[in-house]
Amino acid sequence: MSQPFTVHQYHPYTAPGDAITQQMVFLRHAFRDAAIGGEIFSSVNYAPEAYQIRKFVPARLWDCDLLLIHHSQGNPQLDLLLNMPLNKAMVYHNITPAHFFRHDGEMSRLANQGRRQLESYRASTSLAFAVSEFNAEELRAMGFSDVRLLPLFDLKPSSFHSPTGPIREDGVRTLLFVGRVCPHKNQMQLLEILYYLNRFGSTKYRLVLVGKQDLLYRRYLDELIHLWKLEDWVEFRTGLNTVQLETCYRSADAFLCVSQHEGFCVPLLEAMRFDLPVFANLRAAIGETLGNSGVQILSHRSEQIAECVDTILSDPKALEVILNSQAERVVELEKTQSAAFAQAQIRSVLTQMRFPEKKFLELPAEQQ
Amino acid sequence: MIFRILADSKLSDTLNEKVSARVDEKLRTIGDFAQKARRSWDSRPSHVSIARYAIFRALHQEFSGEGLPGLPTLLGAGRRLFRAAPWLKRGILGGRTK
Repeated sequence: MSQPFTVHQYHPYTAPGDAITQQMVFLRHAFRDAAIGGEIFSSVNYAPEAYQIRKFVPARLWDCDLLLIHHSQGNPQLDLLLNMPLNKAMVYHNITPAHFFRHDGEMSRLANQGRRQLESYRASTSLAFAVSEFNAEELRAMGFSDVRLLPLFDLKPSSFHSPTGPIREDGVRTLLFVGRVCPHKNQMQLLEILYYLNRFGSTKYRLVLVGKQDLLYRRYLDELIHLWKLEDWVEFRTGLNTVQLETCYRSADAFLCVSQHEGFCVPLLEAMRFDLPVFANLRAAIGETLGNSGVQILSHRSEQIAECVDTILSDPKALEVILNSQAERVVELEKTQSAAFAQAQIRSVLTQMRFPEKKFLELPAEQQ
Repeated sequence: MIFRILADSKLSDTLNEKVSARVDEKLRTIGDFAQKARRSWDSRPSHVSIARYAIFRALHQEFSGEGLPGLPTLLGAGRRLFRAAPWLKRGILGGRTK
């Protein structure tokens, strides 16, 4: 019997609700189910004890076969990590362009640093994982020679509680968006669409915005809400646990995304899993995640998007077609967004690392 | 095309026509929506206090890059004036010309 494999993971920052942290926890579970050990390390941890995140101390990493370094914004420990005598691979989560953080000097600096550090990875490791084909293409274009996919989460039905239909019956349609309240997620346009809908739509709409908040941008949205008198129609939710988040999906009539940058956009799939019709533009990786499903918005004009939402939500035949297409897309993605796929991907890499040539398995020609 | 439903291209075309017609019809009545929505921040609506409107304008400048109407013209004129008469700039800024 061979020595079990160990895969440690590192990200500078971990927190509950953070997409990278969620993926690290999912991967650790998936790996352990396949008898691959390993821990999650971080320098700054806000996640509760249940996440079992270990404080990063370089000496604790010595025993691993592979160190997965999750990368998004700048990583202050990167030079130290890349100089350690370990097998390493980057897990790339994409980097939001710095121009979306003009109002936040620190975020802007980290975004620029994160992009510069991709060069350091390329010089130090040949292997990289990406969470979407969109991200993988970006790495290949930079010269990464071996880029493979890793799932973000497990899409199988048992990962969710019992999905049912809308649970609010007050005659107001609920539009939902889940994602950090910040400029590149473009909640400002969602408010503009809501403003149009509630003035000219066939019925009243409310907008539920779930996610952590950039405080300055939130203040901007508050002022817009006041200006357009939308106070009674917008709800912000933050710090939700899994059940509360699932309730938001179950209470909504549609998921609307006009984000300007997404490396994958997990909430699109969560919405599909909860049988919510998805309306989304095709920026960055969104088109890849949607595949042939949902309503793919091509216009940037708020009145056209609003009218599209209002018309389709009033058309049962259209809704049936859209929900069927989404159900098919979920089945397609279950193949790659699964623990089994994560296990297969990591096993193939670990086997290659431990037995690079596998020549000892081959008999010499004269003995064959 | 405003949107597409790849699962059913015929339905997609029909709905696009319907949505497009509805938008045109409404815009004939209400005028250009984008202009109308945005006009509401060009001047202070009566229900918004002066303090909140000032905060909104500052944040709006930050996140949309749109300044107060007339402000770019005023700043441009100021810059041209200072270029033509640097002594005036020194006088106004107390010697700090950079």
